[in-house]
Amino acid sequence: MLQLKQVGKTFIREQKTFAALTDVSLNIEAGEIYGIIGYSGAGKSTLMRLLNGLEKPTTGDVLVEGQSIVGLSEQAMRPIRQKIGMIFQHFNLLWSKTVLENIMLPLKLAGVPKAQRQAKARELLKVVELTHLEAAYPSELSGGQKQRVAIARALISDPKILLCDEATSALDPKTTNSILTLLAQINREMGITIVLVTHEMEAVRRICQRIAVMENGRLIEEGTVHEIFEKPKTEATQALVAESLMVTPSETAASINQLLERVPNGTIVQLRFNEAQSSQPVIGRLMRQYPTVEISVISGSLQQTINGALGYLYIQIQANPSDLKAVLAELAQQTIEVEVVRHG
Amino acid sequence: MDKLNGFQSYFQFKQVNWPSMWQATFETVWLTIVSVLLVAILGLALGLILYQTNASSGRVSRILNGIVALFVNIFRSIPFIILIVLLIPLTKGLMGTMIGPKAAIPALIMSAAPFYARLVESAFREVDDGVLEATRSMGASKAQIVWQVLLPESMPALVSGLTVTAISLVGYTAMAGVIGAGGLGNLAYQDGFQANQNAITLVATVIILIIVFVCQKIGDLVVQHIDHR
Repeated sequence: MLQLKQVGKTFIREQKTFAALTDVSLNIEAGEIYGIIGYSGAGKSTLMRLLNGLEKPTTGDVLVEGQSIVGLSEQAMRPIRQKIGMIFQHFNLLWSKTVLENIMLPLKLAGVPKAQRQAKARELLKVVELTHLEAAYPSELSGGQKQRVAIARALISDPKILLCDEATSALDPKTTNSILTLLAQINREMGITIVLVTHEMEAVRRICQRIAVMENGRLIEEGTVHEIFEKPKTEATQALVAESLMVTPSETAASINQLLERVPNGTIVQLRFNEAQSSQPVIGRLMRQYPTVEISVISGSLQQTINGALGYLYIQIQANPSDLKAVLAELAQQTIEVEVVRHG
Repeated sequence: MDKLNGFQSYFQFKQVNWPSMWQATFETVWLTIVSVLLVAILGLALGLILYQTNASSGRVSRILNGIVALFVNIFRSIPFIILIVLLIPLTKGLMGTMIGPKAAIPALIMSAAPFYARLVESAFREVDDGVLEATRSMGASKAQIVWQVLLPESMPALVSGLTVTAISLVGYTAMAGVIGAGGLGNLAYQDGFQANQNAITLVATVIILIIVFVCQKIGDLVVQHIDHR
């Protein structure tokens, strides 16, 4: 559906060149929700703007439905852009137009008759649940309502692709959830491919199937949500994952120190596991298997993703050395990752 | 008629020839409305050229921007009273006359349009870049962006800028009156000052103030009505 082939993008500012993107290749399949994540300045937004030709790559190729858009003129780009909806962090609604007029704008630009575009806009107002606000102006709306209007506006020209540029970054957590739910629903019910650019791992975890991680203009990691969350390979990704589990690395260190003080004896182990594993009675079985071993749960967390849960758990083990070794081996088989924080 | 001096002279209202006062008022209002309309059109066009060519890096754009900016800066800087005298030959050629309200129009436009063009340019620059990008992402053409986004989104600033311009045009018409363009300025100068009938000057002043207040009020009401921010 969308392909980037060895794309590079260099900006020239005040006679200094600045590489925003270096050798980025990716392939977004039709019908998926694809997340592009990274800290600000990583090149995510530039990458997204290549996908609808708002920016042209310096090197490499951009393909939309198999067609290269790199050499196309602004005029030739127009019909392609009409098939790619886009929403933004700051909504970018026109304050001078009502909700209904804002939603109709793309069809007005495309020359669709008024009656037709009104009918279509009202239909979409139902989808985004804002029927009662069609005559309101954007200044009368909350952030979440504004983003819903922007989504309706992006959907009115029946796009095949929806680009979301930090679409939930200006919203509070509750509103973020409702917008993400709406995006997932749009993807499911209308079959629209969604590209979600964000710095919030949380948003990506919730609705994306695949993720690309960007750092300093490079794509440093790509995979399914589970691959990225379970086994983040690079340091940047690990930091992002840790953040989304509501613990930054330094926080983890602090909380581990607290744990060690609170639980002065025994071996402390950190386990990471996924949904299938979380539903197995691993610890109970171990305790039956090794009656002399004492295992207690100290701390833990479980997070939902679109394909199930991911979690971590801190346990304290009190056992003799040979039993301990056996228990750790057992755990390593049952969970994804076992890390001994302190030997007892 | 007695030539009165001092403060009392202002209140000798029997000096005032009301039919000629209304005639002069009509001329001033007519001159203001016609010149505001023409200044609005020309100012918008020049302002749009300044805005569009400023962002662009093309060579043609840069040259066009340079020419328009030079024109605007020069005519905005010439004092109006000098501009009228400077333009007398041009006015003769264009309007066929150099006296009467029509004769004032070229100078009024040349002076006020560049001023308004700068206000238009800055109004356009105030339009949110994100909104422009969103419109571009919808596949809008350049002309569509101007009509559907740039103009409606900058309308309050365009209207309040036009109000300021209209008010200074009222002042310019009075100045133009002194060199024979008719209107209240002409009346206040010839019948009021030169004939030393201060009451006429006072009445002309009050009427001009009323015209200015009405302009300001209309502008404020329109802005209030269209601004949904």
